[in-house]
Amino acid sequence: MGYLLEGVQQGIGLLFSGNIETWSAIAVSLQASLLSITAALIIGAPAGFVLGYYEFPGRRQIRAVFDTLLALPTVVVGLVVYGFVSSRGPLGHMELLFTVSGIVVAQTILILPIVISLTASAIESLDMRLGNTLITLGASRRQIVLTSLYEAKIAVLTAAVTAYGRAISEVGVSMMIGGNIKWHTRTITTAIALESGKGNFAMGIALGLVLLTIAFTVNASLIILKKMSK
Amino acid sequence: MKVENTSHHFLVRDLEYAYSGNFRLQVPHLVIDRGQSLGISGPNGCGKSTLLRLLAFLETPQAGSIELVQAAGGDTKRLHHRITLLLQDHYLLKRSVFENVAYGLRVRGDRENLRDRVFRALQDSGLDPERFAGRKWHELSGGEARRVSLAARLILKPEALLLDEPVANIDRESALLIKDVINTLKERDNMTMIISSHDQTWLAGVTDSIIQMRDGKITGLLYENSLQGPWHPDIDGLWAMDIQDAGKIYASKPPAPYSRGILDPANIIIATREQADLSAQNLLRGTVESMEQIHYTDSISVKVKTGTTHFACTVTHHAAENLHIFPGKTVWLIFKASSIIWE
Repeated sequence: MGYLLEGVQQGIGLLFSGNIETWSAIAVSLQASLLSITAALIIGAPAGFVLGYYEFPGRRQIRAVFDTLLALPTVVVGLVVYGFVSSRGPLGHMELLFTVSGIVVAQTILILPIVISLTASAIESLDMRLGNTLITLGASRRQIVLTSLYEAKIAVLTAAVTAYGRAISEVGVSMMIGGNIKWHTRTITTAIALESGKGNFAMGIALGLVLLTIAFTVNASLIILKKMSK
Repeated sequence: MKVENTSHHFLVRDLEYAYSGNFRLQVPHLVIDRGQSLGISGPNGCGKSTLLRLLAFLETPQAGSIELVQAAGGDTKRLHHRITLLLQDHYLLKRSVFENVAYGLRVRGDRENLRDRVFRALQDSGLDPERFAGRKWHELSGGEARRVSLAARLILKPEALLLDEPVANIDRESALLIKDVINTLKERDNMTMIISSHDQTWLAGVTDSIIQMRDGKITGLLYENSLQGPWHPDIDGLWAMDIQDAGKIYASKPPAPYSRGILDPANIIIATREQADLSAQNLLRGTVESMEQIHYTDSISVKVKTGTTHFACTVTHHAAENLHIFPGKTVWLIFKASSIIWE
């Protein structure tokens, strides 16, 4: 037990003393996850709107596919993206392997189904009268998409928070595509895996605390937003 | 640009629309004039809402066409920027009353004097802007919410305002206010209005003419006579209203001196000679002004001018033939005091 407490103490010490190695991993994690959530929202929110708003043949099947992909294993995404971006792969010339950009691409693929599926559910649960109301008020197609997403903002934000939580906490993609290169592509999660493997428990705990704090902050801000929009 | 008769606003031809298997809306012909205020009445499920949704271009006809005629020199704005519909199940966006009313202008990129215009629209809808502009969508009663929805459409100053059951399920005060709003718009802005309601009496107070629908078809054109009073007590326990240059109209006791009486055109008998010894209390001399075939019926609507007042009467083809009536002919209108019903 003393061993654990000592780890926590040392971990906090590492954070507050501004240990560069620790903070580098945190910076990479934040950079990658923020870029991937942005990309996933830009692609996924309109796609989710289309899936939730319009009736078209095959819609149910596509919904089912994205619902299934919610549980996409990170290592499978890692494997597939690796296959594409490795030097022998079709996208090898883009030199994404072992870069933060590569992590962003793979994380975006990982969390896109979450954004699409949850946004579609959010739009489906909107009042049926909304679309017609917006048309009668003269909204264009683009304005209808934006207003509908705004009307469903809490549910869309929940989708974003869920997706972000998955991006920042995953290990598989960061490890396989990023390669856990110190100062470059080492993220919070890959660092924890490596450091605890090496017996460097303090750094693992320090990073674990940061990860928990980020998750808590994001969820707390969602709760505050929900309250504010009431 | 195609300009047909510029007094026409909506031209409906051979319109058909069916859904859920057994309901079919069929309107072979309907013309709505610019500035006209048309009522649509009929029981639930008769197709009123469907017709309004089609006229608002929310649904696409399965057969036939609806044309919104351009005014001479009118601009070519998008259809949904020219007309607007207040849906029966109206809906407020999850934002403040102010933002709900401003939404239509915002999507048009029109932000000039936004605050003043929103306040005026709220005022026009009978809502105190200072009290209501800052409220959230859920801080309103049903009638208030409906008036906010109305304000959100008035602010757009559309060519045509379509209202689907605007007074269903709301309090009496709101119903009266909405009536005043509509009448003001008619006079002030000469806006074309198409209003559906199952409440024929209310509808008669806000429209020039009413079409009746049943099972997806227009079954007739209904004109009603609205007698605004003031009423005063007269002989034999009857009450009377003076008509300028034509004498008096007798009615049973109204609920209030300024109550509005409704006289069904079918309850007026037209005679070509002055009748003596009548059991009916009302006998008015007038001149036939116009006659019009009522669509899809064998009836004719006859407009008769007595003094400064017009009466709409309905007669069958057969009766019109027997009476030899034609515009310009002097006739007598006969109806019972008890035919006048109170709003």
